Amino acid sequence: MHELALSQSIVGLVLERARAERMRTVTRVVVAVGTAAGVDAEALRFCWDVVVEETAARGAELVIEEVPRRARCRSCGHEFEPAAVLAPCPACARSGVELVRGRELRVTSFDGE
Amino acid sequence: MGGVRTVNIEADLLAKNDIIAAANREWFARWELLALNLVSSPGAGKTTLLERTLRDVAGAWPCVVIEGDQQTDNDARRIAACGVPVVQINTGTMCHLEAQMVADACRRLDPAPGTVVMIENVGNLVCPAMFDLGEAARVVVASVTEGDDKPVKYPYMFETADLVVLSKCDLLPYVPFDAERFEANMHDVNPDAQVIRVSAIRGDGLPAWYGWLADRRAVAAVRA
Repeated sequence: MHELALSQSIVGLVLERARAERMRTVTRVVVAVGTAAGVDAEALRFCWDVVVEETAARGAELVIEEVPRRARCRSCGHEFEPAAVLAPCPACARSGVELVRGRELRVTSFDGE
Repeated sequence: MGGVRTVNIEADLLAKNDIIAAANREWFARWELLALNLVSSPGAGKTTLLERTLRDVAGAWPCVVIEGDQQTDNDARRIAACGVPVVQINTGTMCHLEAQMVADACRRLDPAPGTVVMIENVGNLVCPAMFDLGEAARVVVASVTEGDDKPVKYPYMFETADLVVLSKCDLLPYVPFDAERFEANMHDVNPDAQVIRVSAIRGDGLPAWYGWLADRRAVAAVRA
């Protein structure tokens, strides 16, 4: 359940910036989560309501934008969107691919007033 | 004034941990310390491997251990019985160690230059994969009492491994574990990681593990 720690990081980052922006409340938070980031969106959502309780982001909507994975074959350099984390290269059929996208885990923006 | 405004921040969630991990890595390099992050599922044999390793090598190389568990200091007491300085971190509800916890533990241990810093992470094949501690290498311990498909079931962890120690190999005659299939699965996830088969109880494979440690320690010594 690292989603709890991550939810706390999200709220921490957002509230710090909201204070700097002289906002009193935060109403919506948008995060980008790669499909290979090892984060469960449902668990993140589940933790969210708990960690924003008693903060200026109480009741804020959490929007999770999925970032699809993209892999590059280490043998032939072909880039593709793998259906599974371990999918072999569709061009040369070899395993050993590296992810060039899909591990994202960041707060994109938030709304407040 | 007033009304709802949108603020774009584009802030990486792991940035804070990554910055502390980078500072740890720099500190380890400066003092020629070899820091290893040992990860596995619960009960794979990390602590038994450590006990045996410390008894065999701590006379030749200074070692310290950082133990991560949700509760109890049972593992720290086992390590202390080997005569090696140890700090126990209890993560409470948390499922992984973070870089700051390692930084704090290192301050308490104050290891001499050339020391091997063994960090035994919380037994968990999921969460610790995401958190860099500043280690020089990540060692995944997998045991033959688990399934030989563990690498493909938990690819995030196995793809970040520098070394896989396959433990409890003395039990291979009694369990349906196929070591060849395990290595093939491992290769699919991570073609670069070496696999060493060991039995910490009987001693099989330990020379290869100690050889790997010696090589890594030599690299840590010249890097600084």
